[in-house]
Amino acid sequence: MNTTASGEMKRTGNGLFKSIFTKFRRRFKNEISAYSIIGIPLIWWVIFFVIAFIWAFLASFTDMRGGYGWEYATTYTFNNYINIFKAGSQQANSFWNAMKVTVIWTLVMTVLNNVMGLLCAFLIKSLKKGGKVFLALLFWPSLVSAVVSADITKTLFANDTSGIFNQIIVACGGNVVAWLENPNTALFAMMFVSFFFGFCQKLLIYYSSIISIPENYLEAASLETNSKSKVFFKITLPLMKNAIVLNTLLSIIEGFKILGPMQLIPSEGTESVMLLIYKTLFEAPSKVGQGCAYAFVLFLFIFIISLVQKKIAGKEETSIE
Amino acid sequence: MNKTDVKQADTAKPKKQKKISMKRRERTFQAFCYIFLTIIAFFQCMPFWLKLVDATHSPDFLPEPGKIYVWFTDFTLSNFKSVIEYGKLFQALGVSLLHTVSFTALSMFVVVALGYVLSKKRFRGKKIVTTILMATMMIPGEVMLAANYKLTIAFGINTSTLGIILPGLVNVFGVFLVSQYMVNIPDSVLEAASIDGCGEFRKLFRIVFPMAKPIIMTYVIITFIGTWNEYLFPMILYSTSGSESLYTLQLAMQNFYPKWGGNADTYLRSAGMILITIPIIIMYIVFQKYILNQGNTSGIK
Repeated sequence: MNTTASGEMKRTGNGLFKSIFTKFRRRFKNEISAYSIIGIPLIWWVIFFVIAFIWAFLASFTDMRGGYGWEYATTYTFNNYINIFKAGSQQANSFWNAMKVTVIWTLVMTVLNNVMGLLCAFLIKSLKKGGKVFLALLFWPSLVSAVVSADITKTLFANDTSGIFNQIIVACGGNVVAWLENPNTALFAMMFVSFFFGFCQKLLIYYSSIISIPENYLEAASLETNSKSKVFFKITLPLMKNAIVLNTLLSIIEGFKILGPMQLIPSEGTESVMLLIYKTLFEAPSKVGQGCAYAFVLFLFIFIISLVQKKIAGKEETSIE
Repeated sequence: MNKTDVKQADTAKPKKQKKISMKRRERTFQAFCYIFLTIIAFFQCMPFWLKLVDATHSPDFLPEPGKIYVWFTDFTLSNFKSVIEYGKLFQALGVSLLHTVSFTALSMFVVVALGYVLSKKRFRGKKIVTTILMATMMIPGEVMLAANYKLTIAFGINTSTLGIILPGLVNVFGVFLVSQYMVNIPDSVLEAASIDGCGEFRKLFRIVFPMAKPIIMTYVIITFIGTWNEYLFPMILYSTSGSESLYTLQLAMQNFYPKWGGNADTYLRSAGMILITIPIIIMYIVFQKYILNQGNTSGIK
């Protein structure tokens, strides 16, 4: 076909080429206009996402260290992954210790954020007046940057008596606690600030879900019973299932990726997985291969959790139908 | 703790139910709500107030140990001036503004273009593009930290502001947020526009932008705040290249330890923290409507 086309083109010259071109244009009209808009963004995405992903995946099998490029790698092995799962190796120790901190963080934050978010959303909804004002008042601290909230953590939980929490303890007759020097109390301090300023992001999603519940359902329920808590647990909560699933998933994923507080507040023994990855990748000697392997194991965890969550959510939906 | 409070309040009520009328119960519940929410709001705002008070102490002020200063003592604004001067905050503000504004604007165009095409146009390959984009939404960007760093080096942008602008531009989550909203734009409007001779780009700017304004505004504000607060990638690039054009406000404040001795450092830092939060608060006050609507849109999912 090619040869005939080119032969014809030679014979009739420019005219035929033009007609093929217009035919092509007419036939792929939609595609041309669509890809002319999304072409550059898609290429962009391929470079900074797809290629980056493949690069990181391949790098995780190498012993790349000291630099970021294939010239720093010599062999392709599974060693990086084996190290993570081999009991007693130094990589396994640091990874699973970091994992412990991360999992504790994730569990506590997920429960606290969601319970508090739900409760506050319910209370704000039940207000007759001024609900929006409270929503606005409660939400803004969650927009503050990690640098600022780390600074606030450091002042609230200062190791001497200048911190409020130490002053409360002293006022109650206790001894000054060196909050940020002990891993457990340091983690508690980070969690407290993170929760107290951040739970309103969940609150917002819960609030929008709770106001979308049809009013007549609640009215019908309140005719049956006087107890507000019964209405809440029997009617409101089941109708908010989608928001709860979404929020839990978001909290878990956020929790697994936590880095800010641990990095910005200097303390021993509170290393999260993301901080470990960051340190392995960028602190000398940058063990790029090992860092990428950590990142992929973390990604695997997040991926499995979101799959499980999806399955649970999907099952319940079908059972209701 | 708060949960049990509610439960107790509820279980205590039925006993007195006969005595207290419905109206009265409702009133106590309302009062409880107001008090509870006010307490939370108060304690959330308090640390920022304390920071503000801290920031206005004069550098030689020595606080009494074991005392919390809730009102201005030894008031001065010189800390703000000093932190701007010694923390090079003006220079950092320039970098931060360049980073935030250009990233937000570019990202918005990308997201709107992709969202529009994927929701409103019919073309071959749409299904493949959509599924691949959807599938990769699960992958956290942090997995590619090293790779993105390598890419900025490969493109030679690791010493310029471009290095922190270009990598995260295509926000797949944003694309789906926007396209979910754009599905509701009636096809007839777009058809009418193209019959009147509107090209694709004109349609995008004249029709799609105005009709999807609420969601685009929400996306823009969320991105603006997120970018303003970002510190991880700028820090990686800054700590390896040391280039001044990567020194954003967040980095400037994070690394700001003037070592003046006494409590002067804390006062200066507090002043700086207040300064870098002000733009966020202004954004919040002005665009509150759109920010508080984001729950609506992400709740759809």
